[in-house]
Amino acid sequence: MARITLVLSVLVALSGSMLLSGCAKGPAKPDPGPVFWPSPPAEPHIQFLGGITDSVDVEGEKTGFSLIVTGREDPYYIKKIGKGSGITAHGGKLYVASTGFGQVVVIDIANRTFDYLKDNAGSGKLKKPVNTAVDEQGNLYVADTGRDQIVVFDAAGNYLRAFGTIAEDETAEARIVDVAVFKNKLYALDNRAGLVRVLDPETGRQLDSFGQDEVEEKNNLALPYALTIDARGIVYITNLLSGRVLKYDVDGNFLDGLGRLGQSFGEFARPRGVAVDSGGLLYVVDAGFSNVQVFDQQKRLLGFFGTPGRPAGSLNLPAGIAVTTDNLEHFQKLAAPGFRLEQVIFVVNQYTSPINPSISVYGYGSMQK
Amino acid sequence: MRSVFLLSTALAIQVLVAASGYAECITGGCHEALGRFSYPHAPVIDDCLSCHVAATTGHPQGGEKNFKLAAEGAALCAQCHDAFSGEKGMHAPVAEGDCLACHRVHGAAYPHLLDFGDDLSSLCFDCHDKASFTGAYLHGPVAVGECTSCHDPHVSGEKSLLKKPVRASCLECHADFAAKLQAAKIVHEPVRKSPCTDCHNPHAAPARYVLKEKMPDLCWSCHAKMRDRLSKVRVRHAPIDDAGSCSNCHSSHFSQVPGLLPESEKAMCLNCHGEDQLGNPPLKNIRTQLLEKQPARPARGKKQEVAQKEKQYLHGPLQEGRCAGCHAPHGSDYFRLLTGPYPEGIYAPYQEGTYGFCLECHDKYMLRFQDTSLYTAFRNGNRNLHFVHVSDKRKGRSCRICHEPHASNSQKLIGESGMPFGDWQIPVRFQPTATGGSCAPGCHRPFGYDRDSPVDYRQEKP
Repeated sequence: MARITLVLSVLVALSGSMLLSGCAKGPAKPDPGPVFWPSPPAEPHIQFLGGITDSVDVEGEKTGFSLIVTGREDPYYIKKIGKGSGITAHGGKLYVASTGFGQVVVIDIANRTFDYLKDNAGSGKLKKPVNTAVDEQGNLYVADTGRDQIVVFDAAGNYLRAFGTIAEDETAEARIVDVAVFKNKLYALDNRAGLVRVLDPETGRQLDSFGQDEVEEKNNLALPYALTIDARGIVYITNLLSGRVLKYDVDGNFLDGLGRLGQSFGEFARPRGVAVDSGGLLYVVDAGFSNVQVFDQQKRLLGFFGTPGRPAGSLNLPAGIAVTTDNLEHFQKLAAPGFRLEQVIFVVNQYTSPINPSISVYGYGSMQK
Repeated sequence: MRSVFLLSTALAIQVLVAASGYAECITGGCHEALGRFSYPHAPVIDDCLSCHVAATTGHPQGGEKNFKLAAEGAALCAQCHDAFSGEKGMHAPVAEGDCLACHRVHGAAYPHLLDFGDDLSSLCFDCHDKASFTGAYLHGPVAVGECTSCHDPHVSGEKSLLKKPVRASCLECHADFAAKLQAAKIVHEPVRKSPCTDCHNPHAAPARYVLKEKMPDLCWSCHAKMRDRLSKVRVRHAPIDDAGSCSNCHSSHFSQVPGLLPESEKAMCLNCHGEDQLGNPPLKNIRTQLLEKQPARPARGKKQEVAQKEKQYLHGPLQEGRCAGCHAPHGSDYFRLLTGPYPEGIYAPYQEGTYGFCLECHDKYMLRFQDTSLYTAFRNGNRNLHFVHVSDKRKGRSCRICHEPHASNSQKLIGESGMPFGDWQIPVRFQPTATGGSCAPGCHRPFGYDRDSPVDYRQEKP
């Protein structure tokens, strides 16, 4: 199966030809047509739009040819994502933590750029970045389990600071696996202590923590993997040990929980990345099932997508997930005729293959009547 | 010359009359009565022999019939009148050729050779069971016996010998209704899809408006779910069981307003809940809660020019003119016909569900946590002051102690004049600030609160 590329898909879509196309690097395969979830004849809600694996998928093929400077063609280095982990969508950009390369890849969809973090060197050198968060000023917070620190960069990618010894007395063993920003606080997920640590983003000082105070054991964090915070301040945390997604608020009040370990619908094998859209739909990545399950606020399972077995759109050991309405007009060009996108979903595959890009891109929407 | 002309005309008439036998039949002293009808059958006047033909000679001969009819039954009438045929429905006497079941043959006191004038009820009830046309409420034409205003007495293509289809028959008289129906935005489904006779008995009925059953029983025949629900609720809205029942609030046929209400929802509700006299004890006058206080009485001789305005802040649903946002208009298990649980007393410590009604719209976590930065702006720092007020296990304060349910001139619907507490109305004296506020109620000493810079109450002198 040919690689699925975003750029080529766009070009193909624009040319009015097939939506998904084999790129020049592989032999052409038959067009599978639009891939929807749920499957026809059910009303489609999710469409697989394409994928991003390297810089060519975003920037297109560059020759680097320049007669003026060198008189010959400069080499164009293809940048890859490698083994990805978490992904954050903010301000029209995607921030992808690459544990494989010790990098954060910054992808600007509108401007079609694909860059590594500029100041990933010296004090800012990342070892094993697993997740990221961006604040309102554009500052980037990277949870690095190799450094056991949160490393902070400014909007231009310049290294600012790092903090790891969050509160020496109790968090020396902290292992921060995910970060999120809400208002002027940083929420760091410590999977070793099973806590959300509320930090001052300037100093790293711990202001509060929560996650182990509930009487019912199942409502406490248990090997948490990822967290996300919605616009209202509700925190959703996936837990590998309990197979539950726990819902707190940013003040640390426990609100609710859903799921358990199991193989039925709505249960989890290895819940990983989690995201909430503006309508309150909850997306939970499961590395065991290699799919994403979607729930509403009443904890009803609405459906799932990405499950292997399709000619395209399958996930391969997925980890992070991000949902955004940014750049919708660009992705709308990839959608099937009549399928109106409302938001775009990015899921990171830890392993790539001819049919699994580093980032699988899905559109959430509805077929226009 | 003139006298010669008159003589010859009179002679000619005499000759003609003698030829038809009329003079002999009517004036001969035998059949005189046939000449006295107000409305004689036309042949009786001048042509007895068009129906009767001599069977023997030498009429009259005592003890024998010397004439026979020219034809039998309807065939006789059809000699002159067009025969009825080809229609779907035929009045039984017509079908049987028994014209004389209704009509007199030689003449009658009323037109159409009938013994009855406008009020045909006696004639019709000869055959039709009067019981079906008897009831507490009669349709107008039935009441005056004008059966033929709706029915054709001979033949019709419509059911029940109606002159027109049911709806057209009805709307022909109810023209004002027809005009309003035409202009209506919302039409009750049976009115739109079914004949009027689905709900109304066209003749007589035990219920007002010649309804087949009294309301609400009639309405339940379609709205069975409502019937079932209301059979279980703790409190039914009183008008349902009042004389007008459903029609106390709903326009049964059409409306310009959703819910088939005859006017806007708020105006509709205030018809009863906006006065001081209705009910025993009287219903609360909600109109006075919504409106500014009555302006001071104008000086003598000056007109009251300022119309009463609504208060500055109305509860959300009322801003949209809706009462049903909070109250179940048909019936409810809850206090004040509310749509969900809300304590009846002024003290009710918060527990999950106790304030479920308010929290259907307001943040469901507003009262739950001691500390929050999210669910309420009524907090000192992160200390949730709603929680402080309502969580007291003995005297958790219900919303109404501080908030008005309908309207206020104070932000957050804080009560201005305060809640009645025996003879005293507890003032709140709420003063908002950009980041908090203060109150000096009758409950405790004045307190301020600030979300950004929390007030340290321990430092404050009592």
